Amino acid sequence: MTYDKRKIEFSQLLEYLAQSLDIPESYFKKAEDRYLSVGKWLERKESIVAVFNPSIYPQGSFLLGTVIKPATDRDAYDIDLVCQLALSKSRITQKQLKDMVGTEIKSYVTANDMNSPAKEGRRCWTLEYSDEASFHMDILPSIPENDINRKFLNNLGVSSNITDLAIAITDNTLPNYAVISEEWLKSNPKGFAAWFKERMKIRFEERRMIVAKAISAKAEDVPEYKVKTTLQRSIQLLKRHRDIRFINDKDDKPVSMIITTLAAHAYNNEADLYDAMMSIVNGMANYIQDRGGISWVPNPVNPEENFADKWREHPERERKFRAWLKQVKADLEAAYQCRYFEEMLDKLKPKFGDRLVNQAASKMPAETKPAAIAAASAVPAIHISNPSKPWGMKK
Amino acid sequence: MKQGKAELIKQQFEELHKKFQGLKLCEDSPDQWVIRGILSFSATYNEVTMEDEYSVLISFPENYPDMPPNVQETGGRISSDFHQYDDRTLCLGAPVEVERRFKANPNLLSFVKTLVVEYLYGYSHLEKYGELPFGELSHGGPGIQEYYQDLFNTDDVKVILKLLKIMADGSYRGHQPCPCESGKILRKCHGPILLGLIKNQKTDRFLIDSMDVMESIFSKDRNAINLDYFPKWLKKLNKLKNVNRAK
Repeated sequence: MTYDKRKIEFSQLLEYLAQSLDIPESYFKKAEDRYLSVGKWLERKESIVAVFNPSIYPQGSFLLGTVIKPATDRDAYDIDLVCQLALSKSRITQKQLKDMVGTEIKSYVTANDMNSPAKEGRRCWTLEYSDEASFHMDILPSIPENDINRKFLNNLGVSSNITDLAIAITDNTLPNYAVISEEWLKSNPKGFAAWFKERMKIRFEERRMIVAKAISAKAEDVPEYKVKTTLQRSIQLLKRHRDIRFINDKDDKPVSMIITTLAAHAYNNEADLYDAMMSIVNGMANYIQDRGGISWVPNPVNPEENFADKWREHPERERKFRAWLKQVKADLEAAYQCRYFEEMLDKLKPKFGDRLVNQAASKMPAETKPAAIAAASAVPAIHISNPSKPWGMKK
Repeated sequence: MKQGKAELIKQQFEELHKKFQGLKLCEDSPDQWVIRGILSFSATYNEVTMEDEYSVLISFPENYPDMPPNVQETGGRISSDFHQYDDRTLCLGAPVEVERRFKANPNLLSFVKTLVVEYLYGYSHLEKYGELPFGELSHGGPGIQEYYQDLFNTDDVKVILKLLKIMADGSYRGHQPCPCESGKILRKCHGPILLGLIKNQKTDRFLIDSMDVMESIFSKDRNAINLDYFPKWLKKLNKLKNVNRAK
């Protein structure tokens, strides 16, 4: 296969687009400072949870490196955090755990003179920061999952180094919320991140080396968030395209977990961003499972959890999701096939936003250097004799 | 045992990768190995050469290498009504044929080089010239019937069923008269074909295939064969059919 100039240019443009979607580094640091400060508060001597060895860590797109800027200036960044205490289900009810963490979160708000009080959600506590960097911070109280449920997940084929990271979380709509019970909701954000990282391992390590060389450091000294693979870039672009396409249809907007999971499945560690995106948009729908007529996007670290469970009561969401995937593909191909750079930008603007496309375009070199032509890799020559005839199951 | 499977896949992949460099081995979740990537080939049949490439996903059944790998085309190129199972796994051929070929050379390179490339060659040929170069079998039972008709070189469904019964029962005796009524003994007639099939195959395979052939016959003509010919066997078939359906 030869890489032509246009493809290199187009992939470069996509890379710049995705870079423009990155959360600014100062914001990233600010978010980190803030959650570390909550962590310190929970650990302080007077804290009622200090004895339970509290730890606070990010989950979701912050942990996966797929965060994007909000589509409009009015929207804030959502940061999802887990607050984990070393307790077991036999010692505490969901309500006790939620309230205990809540007490400390509320006193944190008071001590720091924050404008908005902490809000209680079904599973989390939410803090609002409304200064120069506006964030919603969701804090999810949790405890480690018990051995039986871990074994159970092992039996479903999830490896023990993943299930070791599993947690149990609270839900104030459950009937057993205020009683001692082993039946808590399961979650595993760290396990999911481990799975996700494994799916892009080849490119991740390669990119990390490149970044390390550029700043003359050792690969392991490069913070993970500074490394972005073509999978992470693709997911960022998909999320932005979705945000714009569903801007007036928020109810049916595809959720990030479905996009992230399916994209990670479909990804083949392509080095080139356009290749990666095409293989992802082509492949994603193949990983939607049909279990007895019900569409499933299983959580890879908990095969019994269906990320697409809402599709059952809202079948239009699945339809819109599939249509959206086709649209992304069509939009990328249409832009790729443009003869002129300006034309390419005009095609991308309505899909990813004018400002973003302009930002990305301004980073492009005035004249892209002629592309090196990759040596065509050897293709095996095969002589067919006595072939098998294709057959099929009944339709 | 499980470790053995992973090691075998890794080892076989290395050999495969030397020829098919666009393929990558990925551990999707711990101990779940799949092969993804671009399968590029240049293949020739009857002096027609097709050069092409497809995005594929190759996965392994629990009991690999007792059963052949599964292949899906992930580029969205092969249309869904073209020889695929419901989960979009490619139907590379009649199951007995695919298993037979894989058993003869139970490794990834041979599997991809023959069965997979033949299938993809066929599709490329269809796209370019509007026809399949080596024909195709019908879907479902009729396709299985056609396969055995070709193989045994007879249109007589009774003969096919009798030959299948010998294999399913494991009752092959070389000196029996051949059911095709050639007057020859099995060893000098259809015997060698049967032995080729029986080798390394579970007898269940022939039971399932008989079931498909019978369904195919009955769908055309309820009274085509006298069921009394297959006394206890039919019960066994029905039982198996139910088990199979339950899956």
